[in-house]
Amino acid sequence: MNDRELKDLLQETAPVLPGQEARAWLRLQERMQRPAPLAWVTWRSLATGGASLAALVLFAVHFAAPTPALVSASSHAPGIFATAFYSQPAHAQVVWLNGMEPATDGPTYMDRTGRLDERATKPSSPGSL
Amino acid sequence: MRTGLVCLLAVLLAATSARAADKLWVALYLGENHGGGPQASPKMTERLRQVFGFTSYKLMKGESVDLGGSERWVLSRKDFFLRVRPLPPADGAPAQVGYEIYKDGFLIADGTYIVNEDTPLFISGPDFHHGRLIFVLEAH
Repeated sequence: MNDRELKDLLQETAPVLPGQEARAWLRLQERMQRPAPLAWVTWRSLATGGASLAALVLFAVHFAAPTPALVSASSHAPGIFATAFYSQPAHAQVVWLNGMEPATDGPTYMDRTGRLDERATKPSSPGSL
Repeated sequence: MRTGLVCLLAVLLAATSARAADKLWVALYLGENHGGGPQASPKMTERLRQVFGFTSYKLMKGESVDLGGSERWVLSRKDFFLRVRPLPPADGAPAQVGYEIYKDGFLIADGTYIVNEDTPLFISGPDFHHGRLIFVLEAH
């Protein structure tokens, strides 16, 4: 069957109604000249969605990521242990020294005279340096 | 529309990046449960209380250290003091300091601290009378 025979067969079985071709052409022209609102909405939605997703990722990284180690500590004295950690409730880095003797107001090697001054023999008031 | 989105992303990126500080406030507090005298700010008191548990934190001494300067002996007591040494900053990296804690003239501990405005450093010192001495390093 060649093209001509096929065309004749189609016209016999499914004849084109009068004006059908003109109406189809008009509708096609209307669609082609009008901007497609659906495509524009889709582009805008994609851009907005992408920006929102990026913002969410940034906030998640900022607030949910574990805090990097901002502090280190190591001990140099026997019996003293230094530990560094992050305190989540305080939002602070902490260096904890275990094994230190209590501080005093008494004289130390830094005193020029080497003599015990009066403060060493009397109980000192809290906060005196 | 696109400009607004770009601006939004730029603001978010700026907000998430570390802020630069050029000075470090180094303070010595005495934490105790029956304190008087100049106290730490309410915010600092709450932060310290979360770690050390005392009800009041008396400010004993405070000094400002230039992060671009040289090493400093700070908050010196007769038996216990701290040395802070600003470290050379890397390109784009936050400021960093080295600290050393001395007791009776001997180095007992040292370390480094990456200065962050949102995250101060608390160093638990020795007990003192009925409380404890605490070093605080805070960017400002």
